[in-house]
Amino acid sequence: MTNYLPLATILVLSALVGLRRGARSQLLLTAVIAGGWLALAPGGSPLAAEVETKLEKMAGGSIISAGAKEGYSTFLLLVIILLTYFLLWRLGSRPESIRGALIGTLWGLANGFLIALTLLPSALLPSLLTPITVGERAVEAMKPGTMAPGKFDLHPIIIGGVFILIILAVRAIRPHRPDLGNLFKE
Amino acid sequence: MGALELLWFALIIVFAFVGIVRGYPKELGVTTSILVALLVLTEWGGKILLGLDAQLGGLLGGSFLAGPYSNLIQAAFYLGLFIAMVFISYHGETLAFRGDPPPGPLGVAMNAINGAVNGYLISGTIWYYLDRFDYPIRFLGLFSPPLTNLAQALLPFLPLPILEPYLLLFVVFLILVRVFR
Repeated sequence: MTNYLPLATILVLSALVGLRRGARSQLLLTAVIAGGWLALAPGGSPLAAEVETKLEKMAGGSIISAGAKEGYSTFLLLVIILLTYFLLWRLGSRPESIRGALIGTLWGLANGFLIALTLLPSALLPSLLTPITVGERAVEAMKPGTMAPGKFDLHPIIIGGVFILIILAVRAIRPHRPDLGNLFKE
Repeated sequence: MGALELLWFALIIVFAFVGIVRGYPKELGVTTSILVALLVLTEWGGKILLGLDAQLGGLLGGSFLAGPYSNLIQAAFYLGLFIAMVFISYHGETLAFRGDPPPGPLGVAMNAINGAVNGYLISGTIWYYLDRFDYPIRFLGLFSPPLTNLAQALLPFLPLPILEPYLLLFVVFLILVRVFR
């Protein structure tokens, strides 16, 4: 069974930053993720491939092994994303309204999803990465802890999302103002 | 009587309107109380029932859980206890969050959603216990099996099958949010 904890952690942290720093910060983060992916994608983006080819030509052969190259790219991308998060958390401004915070949270979740897709593709798209046969699926279903077909498993991601919604809702509660009626008119 | 799932959906909509009228700060308190009630029923309901059976069985001359009305008695016990707890949570302030919802459509939407969640929890739990004890109220003519395909498909999505492993987590979280808001 896939471990969803790293994925849930990324989503929750990203949503929290969105909640605290609003939609504008998340726009910046989307740009950083997209730029970082174009430059350093572990799977090999066009830009990364071109740079690599040029470097190899200059060096007269492959300079680093494929596995090390992938690990290095992932690590560098992770460092850039973490640095951006840190800067946004420290230097960003608060959203102006609850709506801004809500949009920021949703955008943060989307960004978290993007980050997870880049860094943890096996957690999100296991079926695409490891195609399984009907027989393998049957064996997987018989393993202890696997839900029977038709049963609904509440993932940590859903629980985290519900918790965030509850926190947002509670923060949106305004202090009660007593109705003074015509007290000052008389 | 029509399909059970229609009644379920109708009750959820009714509770959504109740939520709009009451406001979600009060409804969140009710959600907490309902989750506490579900925790009590799932953790200790069976033990309380067995204890009652052991105590009252001697007086009545036999175990009522082994008798022909076992399902009816068990359903009445769980549903009676649950409805009493829900009634208490709606009756007073209990764990209600103090304050007012935000004005405008956002506030109304949040009120409706929280009300609908409470409706899902209440009517879904009642349905769950009726199903678990094979619909013992059918002698009243309120319901006649079998369930429709849609109702059978909805059974795994009732609150208790989904929430049971996480009830304590949700209760603790809501109480913490209530205290440290």
